[in-house]
Amino acid sequence: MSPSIARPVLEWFRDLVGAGRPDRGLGLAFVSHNRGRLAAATGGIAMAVLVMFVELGLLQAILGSQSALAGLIDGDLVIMNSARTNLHEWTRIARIRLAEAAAVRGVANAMGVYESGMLLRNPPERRVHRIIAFAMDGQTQPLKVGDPDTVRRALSRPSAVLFDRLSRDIYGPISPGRTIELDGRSFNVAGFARIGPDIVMDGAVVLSDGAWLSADPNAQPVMGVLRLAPGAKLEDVRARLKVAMPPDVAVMTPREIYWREVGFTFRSVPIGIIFGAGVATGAFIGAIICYQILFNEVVDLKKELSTLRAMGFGPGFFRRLILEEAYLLAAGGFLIGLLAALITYRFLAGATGLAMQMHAGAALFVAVATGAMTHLGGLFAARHLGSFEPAELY
Amino acid sequence: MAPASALAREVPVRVRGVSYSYENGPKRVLDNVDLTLRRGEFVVLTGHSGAGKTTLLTLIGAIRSLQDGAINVLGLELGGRGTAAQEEVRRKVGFIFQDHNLFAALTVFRTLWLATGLTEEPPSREAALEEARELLEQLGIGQHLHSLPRQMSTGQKQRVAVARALINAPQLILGDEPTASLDHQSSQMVIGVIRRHLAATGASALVVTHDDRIFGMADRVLRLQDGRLVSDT
Ligand SMILES: Nc1ncnc2c1ncn2[C@@H]1O[C@H](COP(=O)(O)OP(=O)(O)O)[C@@H](O)[C@H]1O
Ligand SMILES: [Mg+2]
Repeated sequence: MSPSIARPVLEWFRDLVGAGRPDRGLGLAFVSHNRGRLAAATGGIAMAVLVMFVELGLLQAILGSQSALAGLIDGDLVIMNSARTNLHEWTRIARIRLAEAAAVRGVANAMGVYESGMLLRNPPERRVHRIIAFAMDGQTQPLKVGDPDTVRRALSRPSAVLFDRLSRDIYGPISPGRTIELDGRSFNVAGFARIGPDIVMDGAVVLSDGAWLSADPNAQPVMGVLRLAPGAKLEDVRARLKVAMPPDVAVMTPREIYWREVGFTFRSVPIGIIFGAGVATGAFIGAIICYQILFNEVVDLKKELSTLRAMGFGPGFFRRLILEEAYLLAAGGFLIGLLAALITYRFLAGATGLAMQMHAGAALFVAVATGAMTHLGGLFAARHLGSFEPAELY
Repeated sequence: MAPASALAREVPVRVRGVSYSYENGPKRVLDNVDLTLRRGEFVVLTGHSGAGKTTLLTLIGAIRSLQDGAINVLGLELGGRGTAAQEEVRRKVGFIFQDHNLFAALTVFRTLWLATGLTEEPPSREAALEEARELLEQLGIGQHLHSLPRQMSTGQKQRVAVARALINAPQLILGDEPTASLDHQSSQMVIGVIRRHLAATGASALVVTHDDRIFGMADRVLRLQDGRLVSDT
């Protein structure tokens, strides 16, 4: 930081903590005086912070995992059935659309992706488990499911599959070299892929489109991934595709699919509402806890606050004092809550297989929410200060 | 308004026809009280317990709102509850409470420094430290500059309360039994400090006490009886 910025920042901070001003910085002294209450207060706020983080983390993980497939698409444009409103629905397009799209000027490559549910048996176990199977061309790889060389080598053999290493462990031990059964056909596990489970699917395998089509010669793809020719403009190609394709084919970029998926998950599944309400509840509980704590503080310090009023300190001083205390409690509670959340995320990630990650945006959101709730609690508590005459301290 | 401010300078306290009753109290605690305090005066207010001394002092100090009559303090006319004049008077008056009313979380110096925040141009921390040290020295508790209330005796806390009232060199000091928990020697010391402050600055003091040894140090002694003021001397 340059000195010219450092100085005002330093002064702002000094002012904030009250160094150098006789009537500032008392919050720290008051708030830390009663250790028991300090612990209870920061603990209470940390709890609210943790609740918000967990709700937010689960929501993000679910939205992220539901849309993860969109992030795997390795292409510029995607054609899909326009009736396919989300990626967990397998409304297909006619396979001929791939050839038609490839013929459009500016399209270098049109690759089919096949997807379906299959029953996996992991001998010697007798039970079968449902798993999602993807199929694609191993040479062009329209989905980035792992190390390109491994994928290419594995998918060059018709009876080989890649097993998603992030799958939930309901399938038993599966590693390269093993033989598994998919819908009764034997496949050799040739390597691992990285796709990741979500709330609908527990695991995934990837096989070659050749193997897929040999089992079902009439199979139709769930999407076509297009790569543009060098120099071709995306919007021009998109416009030409729209003309060339029948109206039941949608043309989108992978990014558009991702956000459409996030929006779809948020709207259609009630999780958006459930977790959103959870976050709001956390913030509300936090505000109430904070109000309770600060209100008790005001009651306990009634005599001292009355003395301060009798000395001539005005409403602004008290509001600042209470808010100073509120912010200190908020900061302490937030840090403890953040730590607790990081630990909880690790635990939840292990338990659910969802990618629980602390995002800067979420941390900022919770920090702002914590500040807001303590601010609110502080303002309400400060209102009680004006309600008695200072002489009542006698 | 030269005459008015000149009057305020010469008569820092003017109480006229003040009566007061508590909501749940049976009778009038104060009944048509008149009182004038002149510049530089040291006046003692006495009377039996429950006579209304604290009530009168808190009315003058603007920490209790007026019901009947008029009070002018340092040129400011006190009115009902929540007026701007109330806050200004509180800032300008050095009030020593019947109980020491210190802040459990704050050291002696932090308390005194905090009080300096009430002035229009607060001194720097260093200047405040110097002033506080000197004042505490005079009051015989110089070693307690950085003590917390729980580390001091009642008498020492009482003297910190006196220092808190004096640190801003107020034009008016109101003391509600400031020597109640002090031995004779310490009482003399505290009253001596207050008197020296008056002599040096021309400020005035109205001090409630039962200690007749202090009566001799006062310019006037007033007695509250049945809610009325009677002059003693
Ligand atoms: N808050 C109150 N509510 C009701 N009565 C009060 C209150 N404060 C004081 N009184 C009564 O008013 C009278 C005068 O009290 P006070 O001014 O404290 O007397 P003093 O200071 O002379 O001992 C006493 O009878 C006391 O009981
Ligand atoms: Mg009294």
